[in-house]
Amino acid sequence: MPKRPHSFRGLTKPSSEKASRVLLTCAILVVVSVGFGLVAHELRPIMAAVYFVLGFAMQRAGFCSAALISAVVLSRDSRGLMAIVLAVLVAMLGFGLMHNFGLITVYPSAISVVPAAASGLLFGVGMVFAGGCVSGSLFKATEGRWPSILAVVGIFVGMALGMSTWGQRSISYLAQISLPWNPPPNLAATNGASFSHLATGVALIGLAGLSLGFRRRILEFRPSVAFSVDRAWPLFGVALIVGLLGWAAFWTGPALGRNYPLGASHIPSAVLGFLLNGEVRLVGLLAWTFVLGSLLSAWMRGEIRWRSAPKDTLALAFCGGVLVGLGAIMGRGCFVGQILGHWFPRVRATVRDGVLAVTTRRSHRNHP
Amino acid sequence: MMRCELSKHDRSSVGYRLKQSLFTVAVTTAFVLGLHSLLLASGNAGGAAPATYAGMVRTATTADAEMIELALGELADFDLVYVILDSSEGGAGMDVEIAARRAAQAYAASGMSAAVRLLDPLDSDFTMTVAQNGVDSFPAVLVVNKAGGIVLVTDGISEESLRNAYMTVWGTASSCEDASSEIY
Repeated sequence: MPKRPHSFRGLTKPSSEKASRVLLTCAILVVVSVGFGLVAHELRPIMAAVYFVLGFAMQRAGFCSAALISAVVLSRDSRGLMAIVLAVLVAMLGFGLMHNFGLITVYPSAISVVPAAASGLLFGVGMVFAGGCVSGSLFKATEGRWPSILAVVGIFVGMALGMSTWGQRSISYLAQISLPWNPPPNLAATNGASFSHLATGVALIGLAGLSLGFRRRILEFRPSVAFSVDRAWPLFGVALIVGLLGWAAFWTGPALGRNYPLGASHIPSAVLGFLLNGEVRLVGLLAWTFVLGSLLSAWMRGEIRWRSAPKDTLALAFCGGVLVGLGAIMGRGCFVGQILGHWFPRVRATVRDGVLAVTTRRSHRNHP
Repeated sequence: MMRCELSKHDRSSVGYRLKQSLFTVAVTTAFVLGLHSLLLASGNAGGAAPATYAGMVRTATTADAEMIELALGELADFDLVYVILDSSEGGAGMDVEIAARRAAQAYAASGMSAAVRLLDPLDSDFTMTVAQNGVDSFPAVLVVNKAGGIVLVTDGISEESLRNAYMTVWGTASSCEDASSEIY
């Protein structure tokens, strides 16, 4: 019998002991990075640690915005949407409190309606075709899913298009024909205390309401069982982690010269900025720790294996990636940045949120 | 997905009851604090803005295109320019320049193109700019909004005061001393 050529099919799942040891080592590295950052007043290692944990946590629960929103439309399962709301509320609470105590300065921007709506449309449609937004495609790509790998390639292509002279001219043109709209929270509103009080109040009441709705689950929640080393983590637990990471990102973001607390689009755009313009954005490059965190989590769960799909699905994923990339550049952010981390300070997200829901619903009707 | 159902016995345990009590306290506290925050927000929204506008004077309206053009100088492409005027030999104090650069950075981060221009007596535009805007004490900062006009800041120059000055021109809150121009 002829010997079959050896082919790589994936990485084997490590034993629980080995996984625990590796996780402990990584946890120590994260703590050391954060500690060093705090002691040395150097925020970049903190940012790198935040993105490492974000990538790990999102992969653990499959916290993919496309999947979570699609589940509402396709199977009437609103848990994913509730998890997104939880992440938003937790991030909003941190934002409100930190702004109240003067720990952060908010630089909200006015809405450029036409580019915001156009980017929301492109991003929403692209997200459904690609099977994930920027972060979702990145962590799914680490699992060896070919559609997501091609979606990531498509995101790079879309971002390169958006960053090109042609793309920038188009975005400028859309901004020029846009309606002038600068509603609160605008720069004037954020200088008043009312803005942070409003954010804190809405977040607290929202969290209290959400807790009452999931009262039994919260009371019966056992962290030691839920957060196991080799299994998936609960969606709501990860949503809580994502929201809390937003706190750290709110604090570090502006100090690092980026008015963008927690987002994933600058992970690929930092590489593109370097390749196309020779621009070194260390913060964006450090955010690649997101991929390392995802890889670690996927390996521990034994989920790194090649998974292909029919050719038309692969082509659709690539095209979806291009739209996501283009939408991210046009809207200056992805789902994580605009919805999970930035929703309150940047009203632009609400425009996208609405468009996103519509496009998701419509796309799914047309897409088998 | 794994579910951990608790038995009836577990639910009647002391630990579970304690958890229930803590949950009730936490949720009630969150509601009360949330309502308190909303009340504070509505109170603040209706009251005066906390920003102070002392030491700021409007010197040009949108119609004063020539004045704006002169103040902007070579930075005419920017939406907003902080023009620092200083008559002293050592130039404008570093604090003023840092404050202006931070304020410009804040607005740049908010999607506007903003820049800082330094003018001293050796610059050709200095004398005319000072005369046009009635600047009589230095250092002074002109907040020049290409689409809105000019605000002169002389006292207590800081990042916050420079940001507030911009808002008197373009933002919603306005209590700036109206010295020589109509409200615009």
